[in-house]
Amino acid sequence: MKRLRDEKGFAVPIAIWMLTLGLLFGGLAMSQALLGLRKANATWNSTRAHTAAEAGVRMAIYNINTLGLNGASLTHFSSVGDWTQCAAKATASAPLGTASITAGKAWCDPVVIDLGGGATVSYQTSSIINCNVEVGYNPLPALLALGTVQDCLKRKIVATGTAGGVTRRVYQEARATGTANVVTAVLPGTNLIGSVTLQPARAVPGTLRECTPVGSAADPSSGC
Amino acid sequence: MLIEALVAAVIMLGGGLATIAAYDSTTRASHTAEREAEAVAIAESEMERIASKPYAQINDCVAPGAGTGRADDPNSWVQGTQFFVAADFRPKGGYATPPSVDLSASNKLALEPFAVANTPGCVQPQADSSSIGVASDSKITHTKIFRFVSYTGQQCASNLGTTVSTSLASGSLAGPTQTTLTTTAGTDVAALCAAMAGQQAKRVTIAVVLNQVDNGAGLKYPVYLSTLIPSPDASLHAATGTVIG
Repeated sequence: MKRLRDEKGFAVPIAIWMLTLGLLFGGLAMSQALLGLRKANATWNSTRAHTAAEAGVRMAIYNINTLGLNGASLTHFSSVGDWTQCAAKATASAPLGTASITAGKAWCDPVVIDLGGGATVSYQTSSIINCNVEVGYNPLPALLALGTVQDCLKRKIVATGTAGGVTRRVYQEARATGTANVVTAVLPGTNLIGSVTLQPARAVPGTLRECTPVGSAADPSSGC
Repeated sequence: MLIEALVAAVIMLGGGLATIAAYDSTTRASHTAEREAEAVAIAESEMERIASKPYAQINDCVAPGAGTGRADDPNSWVQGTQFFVAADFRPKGGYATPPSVDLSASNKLALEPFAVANTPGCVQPQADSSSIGVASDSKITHTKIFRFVSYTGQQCASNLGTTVSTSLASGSLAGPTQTTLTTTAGTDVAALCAAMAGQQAKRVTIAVVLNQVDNGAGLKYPVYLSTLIPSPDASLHAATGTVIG
């Protein structure tokens, strides 16, 4: 009992114990603060990646219009699928060209753009999809008759932005309308087109959406 | 007993000071994270505001001024009438004193002319956030927003005219229509490439610089956000007016 009542030898262990507790809580707080810092940095990279992806969509539509990528489907009216044109760039710094979509593929190869500051975007456009029904046009007939034919051309666009190791993908559709004036029927099913008009492609309202970070090579729009 | 109490007091004092220092670092780290998130939110909302403007209005009202040359000053990327688009805007690692901006060739993505037009809707190249609606009691009072609008260019492939004309050529077209398309496509692609070389799109770069707060918390370097905005009305037939493309 005397030994238990003796207060000698308690002060230092208690001081060390309290110190340990303090450091433990301090360490916990520090780890939470560092986690917050990492999250803030990840938020910044995510914002940059998303902004890059949206820029990719805009550049995709710009290239569809300026390179006349939808035009061939009007001048080759009865074989839309075979005449899908794509913007083509071997690398981010390579010159811009066009290419026909590879046989058997439904999507163009990626076009890469460097936005600077460590952010890049690559976009892919799909082959042309007829959207006459969506805009209230008559479906394209199997055999064109004389007169004006209205055509709606739609492309799916998937753009992948990357910044600081963070990837964000967005999906949007772009739609263009055009007309072809069939002036002569040379043979049944073979016509001469006298003139064509094509309006610039525009983003379809309500189709912009986020995708999962990774799509499939065969269908980049999967996960969107 | 006295010696033991003295030893315990020294341990408590030393440990307490260390703990206080740790908590102080923690507080500053928390503030820094909080303020980086705020800076990103400001940059994002500013980018959305500018991107939603009509294309013709997306210009700096006046040319941005030259900076100090330090990495913590976004105007340091202003090179006369051009904007230095860096591969990396932020220096690597931490520095007690911000180093000079890296204007080396290895860090240069492009050197682009500013899009400047003092017309309605243009954006001021620099603003104090306290003047555009940020609450006065915010930690980010007097944070600066920098807005750089420059023209970005793109080279065309040498065979672009040929590939475009070839893609449009079709046996289904009446002779005169085919001839017109082929001719105008060549002219249009040439005009397009001439224009695209210097003005394919406008590059909007937003930089947000945070002020220092009393405990020294904050970001050493600005938060940058960039995007490209092309003209939504651009099309192949701009030169000849032929309605294809």
